[in-house]
Amino acid sequence: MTSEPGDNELVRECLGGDEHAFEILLLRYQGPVYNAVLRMVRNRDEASDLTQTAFLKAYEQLASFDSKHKFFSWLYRIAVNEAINHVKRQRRLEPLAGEWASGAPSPEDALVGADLSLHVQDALMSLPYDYRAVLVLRHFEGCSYEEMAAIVGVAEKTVKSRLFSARRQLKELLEARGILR
Amino acid sequence: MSIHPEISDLIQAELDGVATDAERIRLRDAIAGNAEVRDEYRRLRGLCDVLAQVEPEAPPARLAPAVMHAVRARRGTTHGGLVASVRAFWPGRHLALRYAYAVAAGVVLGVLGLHLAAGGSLFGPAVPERDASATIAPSHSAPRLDLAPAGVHGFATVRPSATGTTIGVDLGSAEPVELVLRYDPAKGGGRVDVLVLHDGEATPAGSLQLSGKQ
Repeated sequence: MTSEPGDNELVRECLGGDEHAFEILLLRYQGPVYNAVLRMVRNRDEASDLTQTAFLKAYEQLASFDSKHKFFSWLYRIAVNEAINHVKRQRRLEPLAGEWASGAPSPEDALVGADLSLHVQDALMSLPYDYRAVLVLRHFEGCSYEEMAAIVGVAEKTVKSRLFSARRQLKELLEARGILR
Repeated sequence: MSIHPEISDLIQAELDGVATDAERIRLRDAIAGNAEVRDEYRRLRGLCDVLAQVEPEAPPARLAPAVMHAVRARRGTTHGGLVASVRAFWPGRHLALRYAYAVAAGVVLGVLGLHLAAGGSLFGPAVPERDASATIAPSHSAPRLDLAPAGVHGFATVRPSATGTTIGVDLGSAEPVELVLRYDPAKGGGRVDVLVLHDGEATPAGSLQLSGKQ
C-alpha cells in the first residue's frame, strides 16, 4: 500500500523541477479553491479564471512558501485575495450599490442550480466581502479559526467577530427570503 | 433585551465545534433558562444546517489542463536550460552590476558540451583562467560577432577556456538586453546562433563559428 504524498513533500518536489508534483497539488485543491472563489464571486467563468490565476501565482511564488505553514492555507490566501480584489474591482464598476441584493434573479442565477444554492448565493453576494470570505471559508471549506486568520490575514479574534456578524446578517437575509424561520 | 456577548461567544463556539464540555454545559443552562438565547441558537443552528446543504460544484474540466498548460509555458521560459538561463541572467540583475558586466564583457557560460563536441584543438592553446573575471576581456583572435544588426551596440565572442568554451558578450549599452544562444553541433561543425529578444520577439544577430571560420 502506498500513501499519498503530503503537500509539503509535493512542494519540495515541485521546487526540484517535478512538474507532476504541482499537478497533484492542483488536482487535490482545484475543487475546494474553485468553490471558495465561486461563492465569493458567483459567476462560474470568473471563478474559473480567478482559480487559474491563483494556481499560477502559487506556482510562481512557490519558493516563497514557508513549509512551517499549511500549504492549503497559503493557497487559499492567494485565491481569496484574488477573489476579494476582483469583487472590489467589480464594485467600482457597479452603477448602484446593493444591486446584487435585488430579489429578481439574474440570468446567471438560473445557472447556479438548486433553489437553495441560488438563495444562499444571492444572500452571500449582498454581504460585505470580508464577511463573505469568513462564511465561505468556515461553512464551505471547513476552515478553523486559526486557518481563517492565516488565510484572511487578520487576528483570530477578528475572524470570530466577523463570523458572528456575518452569520447574523446572512440569517436575516435568508429569513427574509423564507429560507429560514 | 439583547443576548450577553459571553453567551453569543458560547453559541458561536458550539456552532463551530470548538466549545469545551464546560462551555457546553453553560450554554445548555442558558438555553434552558432564556427564551431569547434559545431562539437565537435555534436560528443560527438552522443557518448552519442550510449552509451545509449547499452542494459544492465540480470545477470546469478545462481548469486543470489550462493551469498545467500555463505552468509548462512558464517553465519553458524560466527553467528551460541553456537558452532560458541566458535569458534569465540579464534581466534579473541589478542595473549597475549588469552595466559593469556589459562594459567589461559579461557572460561566461562554460559550455562543456561545446568543448566535447568541438574539441579544444579548434581554438588553439587554452587561455589560463583563474575566475570568471579572467575570461571577460575580449580576445582579438576569437571569432567576434557584431550585434548591431539586431539593434544592440556590442559584440559576442567565442573562445576556449580551461573548462571548455567561453561565450563572451560585450555590450556598450546600459539597457537590459535579453539574449538567446542556440548551439547546434550539426551546423557548420558547431555553431552558436545569437538572437536578441525585444518584447518577446527574437531577432537573429548572426552566428559564431566554433571552428573560427566566420
